[in-house]
Amino acid sequence: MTTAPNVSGGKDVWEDVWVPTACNMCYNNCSIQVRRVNGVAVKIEGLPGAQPNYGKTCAKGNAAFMNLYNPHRILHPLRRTNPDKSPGADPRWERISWDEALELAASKLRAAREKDPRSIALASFDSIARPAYSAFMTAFGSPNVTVGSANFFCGRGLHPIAFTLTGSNDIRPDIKHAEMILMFGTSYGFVSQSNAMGDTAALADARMRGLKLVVVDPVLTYAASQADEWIPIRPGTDHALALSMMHVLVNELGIVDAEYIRAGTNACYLVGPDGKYVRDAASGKPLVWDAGAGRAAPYDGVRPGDAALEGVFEVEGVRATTGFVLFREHLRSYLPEKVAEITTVAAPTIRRLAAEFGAAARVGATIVLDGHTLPLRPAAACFYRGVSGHRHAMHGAMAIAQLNMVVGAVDVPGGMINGTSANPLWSPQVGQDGLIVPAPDRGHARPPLPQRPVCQPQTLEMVELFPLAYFSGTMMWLQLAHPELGERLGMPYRPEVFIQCRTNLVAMGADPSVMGAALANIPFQISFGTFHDETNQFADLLLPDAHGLERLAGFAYNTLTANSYMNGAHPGEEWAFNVQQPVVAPAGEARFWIEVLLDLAQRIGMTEEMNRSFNAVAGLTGEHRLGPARTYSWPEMVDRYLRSVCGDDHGLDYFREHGYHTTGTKRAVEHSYPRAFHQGRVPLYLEHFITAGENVRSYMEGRGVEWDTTDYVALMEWKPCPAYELPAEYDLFVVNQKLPFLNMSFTHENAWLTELADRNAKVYPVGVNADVAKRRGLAEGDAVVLETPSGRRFDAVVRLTQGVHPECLVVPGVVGRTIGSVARARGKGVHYNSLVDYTLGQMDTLTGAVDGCVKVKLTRARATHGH
Amino acid sequence: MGIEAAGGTGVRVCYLGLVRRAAGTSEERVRLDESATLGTLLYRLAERHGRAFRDHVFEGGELSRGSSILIDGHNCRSLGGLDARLDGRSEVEVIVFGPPANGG
Repeated sequence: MTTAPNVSGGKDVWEDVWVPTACNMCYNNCSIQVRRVNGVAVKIEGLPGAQPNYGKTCAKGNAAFMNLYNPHRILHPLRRTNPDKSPGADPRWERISWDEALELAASKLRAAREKDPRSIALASFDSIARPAYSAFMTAFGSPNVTVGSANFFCGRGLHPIAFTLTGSNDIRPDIKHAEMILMFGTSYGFVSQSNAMGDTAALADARMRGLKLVVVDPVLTYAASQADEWIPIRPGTDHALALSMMHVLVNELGIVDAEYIRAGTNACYLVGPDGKYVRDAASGKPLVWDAGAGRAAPYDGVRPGDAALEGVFEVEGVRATTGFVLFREHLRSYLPEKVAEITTVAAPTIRRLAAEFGAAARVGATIVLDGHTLPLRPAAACFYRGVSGHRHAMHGAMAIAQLNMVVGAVDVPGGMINGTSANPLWSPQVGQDGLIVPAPDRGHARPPLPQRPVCQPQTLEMVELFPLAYFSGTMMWLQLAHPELGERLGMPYRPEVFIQCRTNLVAMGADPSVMGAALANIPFQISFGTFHDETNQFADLLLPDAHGLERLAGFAYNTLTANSYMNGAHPGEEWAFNVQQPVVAPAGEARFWIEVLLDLAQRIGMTEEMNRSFNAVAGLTGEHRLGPARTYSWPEMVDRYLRSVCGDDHGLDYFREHGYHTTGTKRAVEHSYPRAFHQGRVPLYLEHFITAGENVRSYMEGRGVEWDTTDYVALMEWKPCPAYELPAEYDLFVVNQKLPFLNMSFTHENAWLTELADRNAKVYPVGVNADVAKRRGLAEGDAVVLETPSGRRFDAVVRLTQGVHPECLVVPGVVGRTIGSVARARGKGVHYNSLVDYTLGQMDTLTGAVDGCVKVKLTRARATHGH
Repeated sequence: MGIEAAGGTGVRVCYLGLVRRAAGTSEERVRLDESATLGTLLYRLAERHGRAFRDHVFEGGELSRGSSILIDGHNCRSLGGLDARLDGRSEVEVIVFGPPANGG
């Protein structure tokens, strides 16, 4: 904390200081400082020189105190008096005391725990508070912690593939060394993803030195508008393009990093007629053909240079070939001429993109970093929401990941690199069949490898039925809305109590009517909120939560932790930390929800379990561990956590003063680019998908449930989303575009940000391709109706643009909210998530998520502007 | 070699998370002979508490990724994993977490 350099002076100013803390306006946890004058926050800036944002803040960060001082904050505990939870029902809130509220909550929790500890669920996207609420739920004995609405469309395809590729739950381009970045359905480096400001600055620097940027997207996004080239593409076909580009690289141009493919992947493993590895009879290990010895041997007994990539061999009594041959031949199904029809990207463009990407990768080049000679592959193909939001998302993500694999651009300088797979505490390891797996204890992650059994669900997400998925939160709400579905799938219990904070599931998930039905089916809901919203309207108990500038939340940015992935440090940066601490006193009776959970733990006699769980989740060691018998205050727990990670000189007092700390040690080459430092192979041929599919099929057959397992195949395929099969009148895809200044539910409660939205012509209207509009006789500002195949209708206003694919409409952000404190934002624009059918038929049975591919019929409502 | 050997040392085993339900208790005291390892203890407990316990704690013969085993407060993986010796140790915490609340 420092005194402001330009103190206003005068006897009326008794305080003028800058308080260092961490931003809370998205999940990036930027280091900021807040000017406080006489107890009032008046200005927010980036903390100079501090990771991850190096003094920069975005519009949301600058505007944070407009949420803080919003006069519509929830200030007191409220109890629902109306048992009716039908849509739109008035909860008839009754103000009660904290003590009454806590006793009511504790009684419900006690009863639920006695009945079945699994019967409570908690949803939150409060990443900073995760260690504490994970510890609470573990102490309780429940596995049902979910991030909530973020599960629906975003990372479901990405995270499992990031683990598959690097052993980390996130991957990103190495901006520092890349010379070409190909973005599929992402705005990476444009105030998005997990290091929004740091990545944006780094990408801008890279563009200045000549990095080529190509954006593949149905919409001319903010990223595409700044790119060298925008490739408009039909939604849901990105991976057909990637597969075709790989065909050009492998079968037409012969650009393959054979050394990497042979030693760094499983492409040389022999595959039998059943599609599975041919295994050594004695060891069970997959065999490769040793070209030097002229015989087959286990993969780890053959020198990489001797492993045959191609050929047909008689082995163990079967005719076998390599995974690479199968992969290469599979790619021939994706000739550019055929894929042009799928994607609308012309065949010459596909060939040119492939050639440019292959040339940029500079296969064979090396670079010396800190004395280590590493492959240099300065071309990266990245992907996110646009690919993840469709059926077959994992195929989409993996196909694009394989584009990097073909040229060896995986976890090496210039390519796609891990977000967090390696640090001084852990690194990727060799697992099942020689494939890369994350280190054990890596945040207790559920990667697709080693393979997980398929068994009766223990979690409300039923993640046990999705053995390759990272999470399957979407299934949770679907089965709660339709209890018979849960029963059919073997769900052994129902939830009794639901705790919710900082995730507006109803607005940000799919189809609010299904989400509402799910919530109404839970006997007791405890919500923590700063504002009334679409989700906490279902609460039985609504408790006032502290704003990010009012709370001591502990580590926000922590590059060493396994408990947060919000730590997208760049290669070569120092290991760094920041802490979110209170700048001002809480409004009204608001309390930080974690301190309330601690209070509840004590009231239900769970303090010992809570302390033990927190020790385990936070990784507290030595004298910093909490003793089982004592009750600790939250600041004391935070202090121990900070000291345990950063050393005794860097406890809470240090962070209250400085807000930020670096160890002075930089991320080493082996942490930034671990590929060269471990032996784990990446599967080019995904044989484990076949086994996983067999296990799912077996379980479902045992329960007499029809279940689609056609995506459990070893070679990635493009298949159309169900929306492709709709009647011809539903002829326009709806594409959801990110907005950098409105990307969390609560940003809509901010007067400055909603004013920005008002002044931005792209936010509330529906974007229509100008040529298409002309053919249909539509003009700028015309009123139209969007109708879904299930009959839902939405009023909209047309915006004409050349920045959208002719077969698409663009609907930005999550506008069209029904409940909110800012009148001018309420009800404006089309609520994209309401367009999504949330049914079992729309579920992606590989990822456990709902298909967000939407097509609508567009009709004129009435003429305006003289039309 | 095994647990509950006469004359051996005793260790308190605490259960947290999903495994507590599988064990049917929050803690128990187990006697071990001097050569007992963590693997000895956990396999024996898996026999006692059944398949659900085993499935929570083990994954393909290794410790499951969803579990944390602490021996006197130290992560067992830093002490040798299943081969960690329990001689002279007083407490083993077996913690099984739910799926990670991670990602977006």
